[in-house]
Amino acid sequence: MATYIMLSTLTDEGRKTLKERPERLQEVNREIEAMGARVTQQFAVLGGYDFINILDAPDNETIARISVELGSRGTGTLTTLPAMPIDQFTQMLKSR
Amino acid sequence: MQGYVVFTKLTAEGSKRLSDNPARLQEVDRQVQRLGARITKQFATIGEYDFVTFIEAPSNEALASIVAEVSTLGTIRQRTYPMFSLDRFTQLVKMQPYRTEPHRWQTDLWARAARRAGRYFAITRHVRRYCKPLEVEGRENLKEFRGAAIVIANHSSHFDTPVVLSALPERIRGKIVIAAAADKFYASRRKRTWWYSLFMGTFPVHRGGGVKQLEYPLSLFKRGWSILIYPEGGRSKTGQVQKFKAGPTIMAMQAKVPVIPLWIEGLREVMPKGQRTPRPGHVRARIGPPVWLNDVTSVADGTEMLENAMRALAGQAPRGALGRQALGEADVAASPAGGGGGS
Repeated sequence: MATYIMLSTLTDEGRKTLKERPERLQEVNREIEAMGARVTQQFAVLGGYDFINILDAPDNETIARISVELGSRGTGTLTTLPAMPIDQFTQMLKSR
Repeated sequence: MQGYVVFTKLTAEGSKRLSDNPARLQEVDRQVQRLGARITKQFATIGEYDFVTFIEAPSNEALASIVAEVSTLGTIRQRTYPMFSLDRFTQLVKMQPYRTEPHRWQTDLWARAARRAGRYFAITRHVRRYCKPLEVEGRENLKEFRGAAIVIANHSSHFDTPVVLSALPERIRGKIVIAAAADKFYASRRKRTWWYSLFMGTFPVHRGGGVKQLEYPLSLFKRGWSILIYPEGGRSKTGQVQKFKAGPTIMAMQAKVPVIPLWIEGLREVMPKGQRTPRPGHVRARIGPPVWLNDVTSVADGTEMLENAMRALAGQAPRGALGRQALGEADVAASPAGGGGGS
């Protein structure tokens, strides 16, 4: 499993849904799980993005699928960054 | 502590320095800690940013100083955003706008008269119908008592307030206002918030609103009014005494008024949290002797004292260092049931 950071921004449509049914947020997590990835942590953000999610997914293809699936609903736009824990990163730099 | 997420992009200079000396990253870590914050998670990412860092800092100011400090290194560009846990955020979204200002006329003579005249319809008839019977113990604890007080009660049901009002002597009941959660009872979509202020005598408290919420009650003590407040800050589902909030303690210490603990039992059967229609049941209210916090030096100690006074009334084991001292370590496990000054 690899780690991904998913930044999401709501559209007007998405904001309306959020106000009417805040529980929808949790339902999205279950749908992501059904597609083979898992949300490990999730925060609401003030500023450039509305939410930041940390995901575990097997590969980039899974993430691509999730992005298209969730993006097609028109409730938000997603940006996903492949990530690795910082320790692993410094190890990698050192071992070069 | 508040959460923040920091997105970082290295400059060309920064990338070079980092690949020459990867240990620099840990150094930034230490710097952040020295400034009173904590990195909870950090990732190296591919794409728009090079690093995504989750930080907990005591305040926006503290975080700003960290950001300033780190950016003097001149090797990075960063963006910092505050964040919340999703649970807290959902809670915030669900909150309706609400009134925070009390209806100050509620202590006027005409309002008192109206409340008294309406008491049968607003309170007494419901208590008679659903509390079968209502037993009140410990009335003798208030026989000598005169003046203003803070009445604290355990909270398990919306039916608590009518029961407390019925259990208190007329001296106190006639001059009491009740702290009610503003987000529940004073939401803007409710049309009749004045009804609660007039007939129940409630005033809105903005939960988590800090010391400012104490101004109105403090002004009332001077005029001999008492306050009913639920120190658990919400309704308990278990019947166990929940952790007390500090508000009532701060009020008692500032205004130098005594605190009267009142334990209510049986209302979880009559109308528990989440149920709208009551069903009749046996209800017991137990009034404890007034507690003075004059000798208490810290708010934490005072809060613990009040919590233990309530636990004693409820026959539950005390909590915290003070409670254990009072009982002796060995007795805690086998705390006597039904103890306290009630009956």
